[in-house]
Order: sequence, then structure tokens, then C-alpha cells
Amino acid sequence: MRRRKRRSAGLMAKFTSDGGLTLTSMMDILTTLLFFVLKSYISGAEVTTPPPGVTLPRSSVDAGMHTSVVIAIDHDAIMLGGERVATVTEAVASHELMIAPLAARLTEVRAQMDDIDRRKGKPPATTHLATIQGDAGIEFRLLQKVMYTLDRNGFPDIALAVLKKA
Amino acid sequence: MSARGRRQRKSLTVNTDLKLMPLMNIIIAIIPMLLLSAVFIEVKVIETSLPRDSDAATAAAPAPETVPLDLAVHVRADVYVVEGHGVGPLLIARKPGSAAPDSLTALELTHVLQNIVAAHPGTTDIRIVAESHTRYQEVISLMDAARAAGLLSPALEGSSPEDV
Repeated sequence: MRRRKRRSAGLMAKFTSDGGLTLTSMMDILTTLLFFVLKSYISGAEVTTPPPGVTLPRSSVDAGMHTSVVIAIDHDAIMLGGERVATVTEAVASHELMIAPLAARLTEVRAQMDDIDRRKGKPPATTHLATIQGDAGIEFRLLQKVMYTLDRNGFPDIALAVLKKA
Repeated sequence: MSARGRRQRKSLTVNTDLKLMPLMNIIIAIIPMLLLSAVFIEVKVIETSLPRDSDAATAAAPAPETVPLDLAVHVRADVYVVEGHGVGPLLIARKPGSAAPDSLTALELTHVLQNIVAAHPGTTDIRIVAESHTRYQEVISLMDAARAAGLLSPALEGSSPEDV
């Protein structure tokens, strides 16, 4: 009787686990996923997302973004670094090529950049880079005015942000 | 002796399983956070130049020995006009009011520009002369067509100051 009891206890021990999950394979998957996600962060030199409401045009170009001042243009407003500086209606209606509110804000930004350069002990850069994130549907006359304003306010190097064609 | 030895052996048994649950919890929290903030859209840039002031450029530049090709693609209402010194004008049909040239038109334009580049080796400059109402996507598509033909420095220009 005692022997039978002992045998059944041994069988129980053999076929029952302690209730813990086997997590090693799950951990392997999650660790791989974590490294993959982290790598996608590190591989890009400069990562940016177009602001909401801006659909960038598509292009086959392959040059990556650089750190720069970003001007976004949608159907309503012209934004500098996420801050709304002028409306599209005003900019288009004006007979001037220069967009005055944008020019004023660009002058401030350039002064700040020069100040940072001075604090770093570097001579202020003569030219600065600006990236235009324009909606694919905007008219060329608006783009031309923004480019002209950038050029005349110390940002002659202009990059047009696009989405890579698949 | 035997019963005591069994007890001792039992008490020395160590559970060597790693406690993975806390690590799992951290990773499960980190992954959605990273995925939510990840950027999967590839943003690229086209470096370009300002629509130039042709009068000022002409006045400032010394007179060249040979006449430059001055290749340009003009966007008109229903046609793209490719012209330069000793070239064209070559006309390529454009769908009026279209937001961008279709793939066939773009291919035709690239082919025309490739022929011009082949006939004038060393040419890398081209002007995209857009109308005031030309859509940005169309301008970008024309720049792509020029780049595909080996014209790596496309410049943008407005068709006339009155249009601005």
C-alpha cells in the first residue's frame, strides 16, 4: 500500500510542473524585436515627420535629411519649426516676393544660430540650410516666395523634403 | 541515515530557472513605446537653388566664349517645352490641369533629355520653368525626370514675374 502511494507520488511529480511559464522563447522574440526597433532609430542620420495636414510630394531622390531649419507649408499656413508664422492666403495675395512675417522670424532664428556659434567659439556661419516641407498640392508661386524669402534672409541652401517612392 | 540523507538532498535542491517575468514586463512596456514613436516614413531631400534672377546673372557673369546650352523645360497649359541654345523647342503633351506627369510622359521627357545630354556631353544644368499655378508635385516629378536623364542640377524658375 505504502509502495503504491510512493509510486503514484513519483508519477505525479513527473507529470506535473510548478505552474511557471516557459518564457525563454518569448524572451528571444522580444529581445530580437527590441534590437530591431532600436536599430531603426540609430540607422537614420536625421529623422523627421511631416506635420499633420502636409502630404509631401513623392520623388525617386535618395539624399538623406540634414539638421536644418524646417519650414512647413500646408494649404492654410506657413510654419517655421512648428510655429505658425504666416497664412498662405496673405502670402499668395501679396505682390511682394518677400513674405514679411516669415522674413522677420527667419532673422530672429539666424541671430539665435549665430549666438550659439559664438558661444561655441566658432565664427558665425555665412549661410544656413533650410528644409521646406511643402504639401504636394501647393502652387509653385507660393514655393517660389518661400524660397526667395529664405534666400534673402541668410538661408540660401534650400532642401525640398520629399517622400521616397517605393 | 537513509531518511536523513534524503531530507538533506531535498533541502539542497535549487531552482535554477531565471526569473524572467520582470525583464519581460520591461520589454513589453518598451516595445510598444518605441513602435509608437518610430518613424517608418522615409523622408528624403532634394537640394536645389532659388529661381534665379536672369537679368542680374547675365549682368554679373562675364561673356562666355561659347554659347551655353541653357537647357530648360517650360511647363505650359497643355505641353512641356524642352528648349535650349541649339535645341528644340521639343514639345511633349501634358494633360491639362494634371497634378503630375503620368509615368509615360515622364519617361518620354527623360528620353528626350537623355538624347540632349548625349549630344552635349558634360551638361548637368537644367531649369524647370514652372507656371505660377503649377503644383509642387509636378515640379518634383519634372526634377526627377531631369535627374534620371543625368541632369543633376535642376534649378527652379518662375515663368514670368507677373505670374507671381
